[in-house]
Amino acid sequence: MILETKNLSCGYSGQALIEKINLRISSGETVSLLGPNGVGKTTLFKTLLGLLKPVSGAVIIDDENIENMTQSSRASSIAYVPQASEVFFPYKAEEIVMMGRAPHIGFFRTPAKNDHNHVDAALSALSIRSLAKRVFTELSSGEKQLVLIARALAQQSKFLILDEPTSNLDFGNQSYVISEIKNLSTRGIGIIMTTHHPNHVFESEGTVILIDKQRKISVGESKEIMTKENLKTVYGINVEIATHESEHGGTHCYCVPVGCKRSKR
Amino acid sequence: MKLFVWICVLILLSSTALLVGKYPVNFISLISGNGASPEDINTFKMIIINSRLPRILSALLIGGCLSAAGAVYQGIFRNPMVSPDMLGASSGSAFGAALAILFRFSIKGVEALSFASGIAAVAITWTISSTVSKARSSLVLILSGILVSTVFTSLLSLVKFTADPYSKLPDITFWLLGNLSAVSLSDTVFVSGCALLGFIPLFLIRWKINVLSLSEDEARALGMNTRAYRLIIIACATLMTSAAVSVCGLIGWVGLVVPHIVRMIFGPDYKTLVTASIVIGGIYLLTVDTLARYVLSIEIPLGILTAIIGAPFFIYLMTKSERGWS
Repeated sequence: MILETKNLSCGYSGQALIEKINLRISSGETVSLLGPNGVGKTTLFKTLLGLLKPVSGAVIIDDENIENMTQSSRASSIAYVPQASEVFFPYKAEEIVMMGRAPHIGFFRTPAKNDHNHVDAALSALSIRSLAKRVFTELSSGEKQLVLIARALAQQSKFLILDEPTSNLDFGNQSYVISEIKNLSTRGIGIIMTTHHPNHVFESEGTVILIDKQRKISVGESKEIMTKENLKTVYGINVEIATHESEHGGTHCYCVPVGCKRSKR
Repeated sequence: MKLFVWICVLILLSSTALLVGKYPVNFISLISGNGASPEDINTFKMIIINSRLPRILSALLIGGCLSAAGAVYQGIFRNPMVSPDMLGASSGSAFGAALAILFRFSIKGVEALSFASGIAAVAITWTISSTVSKARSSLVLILSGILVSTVFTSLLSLVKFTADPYSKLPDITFWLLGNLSAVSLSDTVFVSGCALLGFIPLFLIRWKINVLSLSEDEARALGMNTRAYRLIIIACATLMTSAAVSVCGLIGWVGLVVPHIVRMIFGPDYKTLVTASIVIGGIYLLTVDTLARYVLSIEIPLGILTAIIGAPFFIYLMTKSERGWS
């Protein structure tokens, strides 16, 4: 499956925040979206999900404009993992994951055996079956994030949109969640996620969309886009990018801010 | 399974409620026909069929309707403090009833106008919120509801102000307090019809209400046509609430407190919550009403009792359940 945007401009009430973006993402690919606060990352996501009408242009999944799709067939193609889910009632984690089955459960239906199997499979895929009976609101942020990812898995969509999946997590959980997300792409799921940490882009590899303060968009492989010049224009600070030979094998790229004085903005 | 046990409790309580009352009915002679004169037997039958039976059935139905309406509203408005009055159904019905009493309508006329204006109030709320905001936010709907409630409450005050303080005003006041002592068998039939009409759609979409209790964007990303579902739910809840209020007046706190009790017993999944709310709500109101007519020497209006029992109970629930809605 292929998710495309054709000259997509998106924003609120006819006012475009992001203009003329052309993307082509196939299932199994990972795309990281990087940019400072307020450039319209969430707006882009909402448009991709069909929650917001594009100002102009179109979002196309396998040659079909998503505006012509029903809400539930759209949901069967693209799933959304929010930064945090506001849950008001003490649902168990497995009940939250079951909600991912909503687009597959008919108008007057309740979950069937088959849906329970999908929930089990989604929980096992992320090795969080032990959380199944726990109350969602009592879980730690990392566990919540994994449950929300499991919900998206149970939705069986070919594309997954993750809004800052690591934003509330501690150092260890950040890496853990990123590696789980990387695993998903090997299962043939197309991943689009935002992050505030350039290092996560190195970790997750794949394609990068970099949006700078002037909303200039650069798209490409992480190695060619994640240069210190580009990061400087995006974040307005000096950074260095280094590689490190790990004693666990492999080389890792990482970026560090140097001299935290802001360069001219 | 748990639900089955509670249904048994409900049946048991209803049968007990049939047996107790101010007027001593001798059931042994009613069944066997011995030891009582034919006139007595006739009186017994009259009391059971025309007085206690409609009252018990109405208590069950009204308690169930208000609780189910409250439970689904708390879900779609993502707010545990919401009650079925939220969108103006109760204040609309109250105004309708008061107006009908002012114009000396018959009992049936009072009920009809009350029912109709309850539904009209919610329709106005819905229209306002969909004209004001295309964003389909539930906050706009709640605000419109508060607005419409305020207007209808003011209109109610206006009716009270113009009503004759010696004859009409006491009638209106008494009606507003909420009471089941005057329900007839035809009222029961009316409420059960509305209850069924409202309950069936809610029952059919019950699991989906879970998904609606997430944020608007999440629910839509999960494939829900949120506007259509919300409209169905509001229509059903309004039908149930207006029918209940038109027959028995304002009975507060049931729709707010009972859903929380039900969540404590059955968990938050609407798959069981909708049906369980009907059962537990019925039990709750039947118990309170039976106490009201049997235990106390003067009959206190039901609406007062549900509030007196409901409010402290709600505080108890808040201290006990720190889960989910802290």
